[in-house]
Amino acid sequence: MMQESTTNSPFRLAAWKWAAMIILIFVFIAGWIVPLKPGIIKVTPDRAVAGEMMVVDVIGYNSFYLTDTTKLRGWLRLSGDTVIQAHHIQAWDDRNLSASFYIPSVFPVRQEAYPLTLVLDHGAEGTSILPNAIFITPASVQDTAEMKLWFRDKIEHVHEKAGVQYPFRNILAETIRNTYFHVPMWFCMIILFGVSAWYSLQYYRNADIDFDRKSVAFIKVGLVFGLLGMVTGMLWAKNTWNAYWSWDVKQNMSAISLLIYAALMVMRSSVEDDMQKARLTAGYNMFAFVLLIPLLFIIPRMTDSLHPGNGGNPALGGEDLDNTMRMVFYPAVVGFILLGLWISQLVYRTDKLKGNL
Amino acid sequence: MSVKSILAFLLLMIFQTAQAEGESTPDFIRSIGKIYVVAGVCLIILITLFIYMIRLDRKISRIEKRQKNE
Amino acid sequence: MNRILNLVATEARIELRERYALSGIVLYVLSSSFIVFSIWKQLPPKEWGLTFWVIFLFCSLMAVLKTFGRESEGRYFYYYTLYHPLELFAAKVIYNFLLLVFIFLVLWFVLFVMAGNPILRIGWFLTTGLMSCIGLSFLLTLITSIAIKTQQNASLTAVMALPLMIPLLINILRLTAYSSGTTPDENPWNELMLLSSIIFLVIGLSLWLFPYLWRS
Repeated sequence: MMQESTTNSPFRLAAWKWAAMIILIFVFIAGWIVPLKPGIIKVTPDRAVAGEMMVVDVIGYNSFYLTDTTKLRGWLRLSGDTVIQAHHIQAWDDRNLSASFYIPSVFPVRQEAYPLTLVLDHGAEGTSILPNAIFITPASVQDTAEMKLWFRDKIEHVHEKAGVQYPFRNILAETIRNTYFHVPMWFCMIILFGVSAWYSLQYYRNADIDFDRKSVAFIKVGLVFGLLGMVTGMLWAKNTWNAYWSWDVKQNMSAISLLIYAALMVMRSSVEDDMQKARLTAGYNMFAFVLLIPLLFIIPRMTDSLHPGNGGNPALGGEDLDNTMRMVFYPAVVGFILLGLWISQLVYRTDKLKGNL
Repeated sequence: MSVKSILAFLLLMIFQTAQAEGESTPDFIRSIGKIYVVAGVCLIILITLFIYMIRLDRKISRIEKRQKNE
Repeated sequence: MNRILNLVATEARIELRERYALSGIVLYVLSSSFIVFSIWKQLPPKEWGLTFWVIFLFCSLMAVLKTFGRESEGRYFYYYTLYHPLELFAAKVIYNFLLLVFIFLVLWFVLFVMAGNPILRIGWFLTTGLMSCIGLSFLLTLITSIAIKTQQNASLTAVMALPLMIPLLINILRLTAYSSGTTPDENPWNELMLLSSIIFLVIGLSLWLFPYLWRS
């Protein structure tokens, strides 16, 4: 993969380097300009007592409630398809509306408190959902006749807004775009460490100092990407979890993997003999990379985590990624990995030049 | 390695002070659906990668100079 | 096999000749648990487990640190010509394993006397302890064999080994929590499977890599 360009023209580059640039430009543009679907930021009041009429004020995000007020509909969902419909909905402006509900005094299931999900449907912009929007405490007097106020409705006849949009998730809001910038850092780090371990294996097979140079270059750049992933994650965590570091499993595991490779670099600097250094690096590198696999892929899945995309696959699974996002997320991963490979290649070539002098 | 850790620390400091300033206006960085967090993340990534490339460039220039001297 | 046992015996003889070696470990265990206990004053079951493993980790680091440090350069060369690297490695690992089991039992006894014994499922705790002794003896022996080749081997062993121990430690802590009944975890077999598979990884990797790292 190490091709030196033969001519002096600045545009003579390997195709994959062009691909890296073009993909990343696409990712940065698409990651920024595609809007979010409408969502609900806040509902007041967020608690109520059953058996009473209540009026909730809703603050929307990216919403245009005034566009077609006749098609506004609202539901409170208990679970599955058990819902109550709003009596009346009044839109004040594009981002504020009020909806009135009568909460039946009797519920199909018995619980201490009932979390209800608010669903709004709008002709112009589709559906917005706020899970656990209102908590209902049971009424003191229960009228079983009110059981018929609960409808069975899967809320399927809703509008979908046309065009390309990213989903709105309540905690994430716009930071769902970090999927394209923060998450690929970790993918890139793992791939770079993997390539490095592979070169270590090559060094193990035949002791050519060049393989050692390669594997170290990949570790160096992998550490930079890991550090980037950690710092960007900390910035996000500060504004979401209110602390740069909240001892979440994923934070810990990533910090540990950085520690392991930092230790490797420290170890390298304290050995003088080049062959010795290369052999120890190769051994420790392979050992560390294999132990990294349970650390990064198995243990985080066995523990509760607040990190988005948790449960199942750390970043690819479940609710947080829909098809629109996949169209940007996969290119983002590929693009950043190619960029990482490119930079590591430059580092390797520099180190080689330095070594040959 | 130390250069990089100092770098990370500096970046964090910058954002911390940015947040301290933002406290007078109610929560600047969290307004508009936390879009400024995304901006910060992109800036961190770009600035760090640029600084890394600049360091690499300098290293190569040094090598070239040495090569010329020999 | 006989040759390996011979090496272990030699190792033990060298160690026991210097009387401070074993008693040093016991004193280390005693003083560190004393410090921890005087900070905590009393140990609830959860903290008991954490304290136990923290002290155990640092004691084992200290004890294993001098695995390769005792011999002079000359003796290395002598070993190198006389034994296959794997024989040497096996001897060191067995010796370190015995040392770790010794530390484990002493530490258990000390904490038992000082803070009582919150362990309800003793069989589970013993299994966890034995498995962690196996895993840590392999891991620490390999790491010390790397660190001995560098200039500052004491600090480097800790720096290189501690992050690698964490996957083991996480599982060990969970199993300890189960054996002291502080978690409602009713399926500890999963944890045990994960722990043993990590230990198998460590064993396989260190058996593969030690002969390679030992050449010099």
